[in-house]
Amino acid sequence: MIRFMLHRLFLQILELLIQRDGEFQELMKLAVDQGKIHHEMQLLEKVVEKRDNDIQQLQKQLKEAEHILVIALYCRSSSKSTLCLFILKHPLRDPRRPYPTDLEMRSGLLGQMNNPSTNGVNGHLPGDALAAGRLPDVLAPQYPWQSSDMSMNMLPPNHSNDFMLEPPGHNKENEDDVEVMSTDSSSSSSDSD
Amino acid sequence: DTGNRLRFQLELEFVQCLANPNYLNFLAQRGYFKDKAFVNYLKYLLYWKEPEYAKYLKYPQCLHMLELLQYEHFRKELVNAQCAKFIDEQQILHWQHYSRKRMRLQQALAEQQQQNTSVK
Repeated sequence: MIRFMLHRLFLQILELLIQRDGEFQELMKLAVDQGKIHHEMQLLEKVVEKRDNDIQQLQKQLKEAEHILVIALYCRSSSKSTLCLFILKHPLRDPRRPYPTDLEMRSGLLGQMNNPSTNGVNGHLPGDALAAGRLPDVLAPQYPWQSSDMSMNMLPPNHSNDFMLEPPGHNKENEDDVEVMSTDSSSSSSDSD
Repeated sequence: DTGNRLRFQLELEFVQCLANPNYLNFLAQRGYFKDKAFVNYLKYLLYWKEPEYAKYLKYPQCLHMLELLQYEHFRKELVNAQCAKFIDEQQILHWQHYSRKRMRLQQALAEQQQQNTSVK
């Protein structure tokens, strides 16, 4: 009798073990599937992050383009009355071209500070002065733009209000030598190496 | 004060050089626009937009270029010589067109003032 009961008990335990093993196998399979899904989710998150960065970059470029367009449209749409007033108060200082020529750039203070014969550069301003290490003391590294982590609050320019300086390159000898530029001009006012 | 005077003149000259697209192309090709300190300097130069400083500018278009130079995309495009050439051509055309327009307007204003003076 006792042997029969033990045998029965043994069978019941065996059945329970088999059942538990089956459940365990199912759980293992579920865990593997969930692991695969988790891995796919991680990949998709990386893709989404990349797309977000692309969108942010494009938004930044769009904002820059929009700002440039607004400035251009504003200049174009200035009222005529404002223009008349501006013309009367601000006559053209140099009707030949809207920017300094190579000659004017070289003849100014910046050009004179650079000596192309000794340092081998072609004499362009202050880039070459920087390259040649000939920066004047007044532009020495104590100024905020030299720091790579310059804060937004820059030091204001410390200029006196008594300056009465002539514009650069103001030399009557240049006036007769300069021709009115045409759109066909292929010459560059800056030399390239 | 001599230092301030010198610095004023140097910065006045340099900011106006920025009106020349060919010079900007030169700077771009030599990598100056990639230097953080140089970019900071360009931002610093924005004080020339203030009327008390802008009145000293002979080439005020430099301020427009300076504004555009604050954008990285513009600085990158300037490496391209064709881009600089296009800007140069458009700038000259704009300048010539509005110089002629300004001249006609000045003549018209002068005639009008002369007429007003003769009526009196």
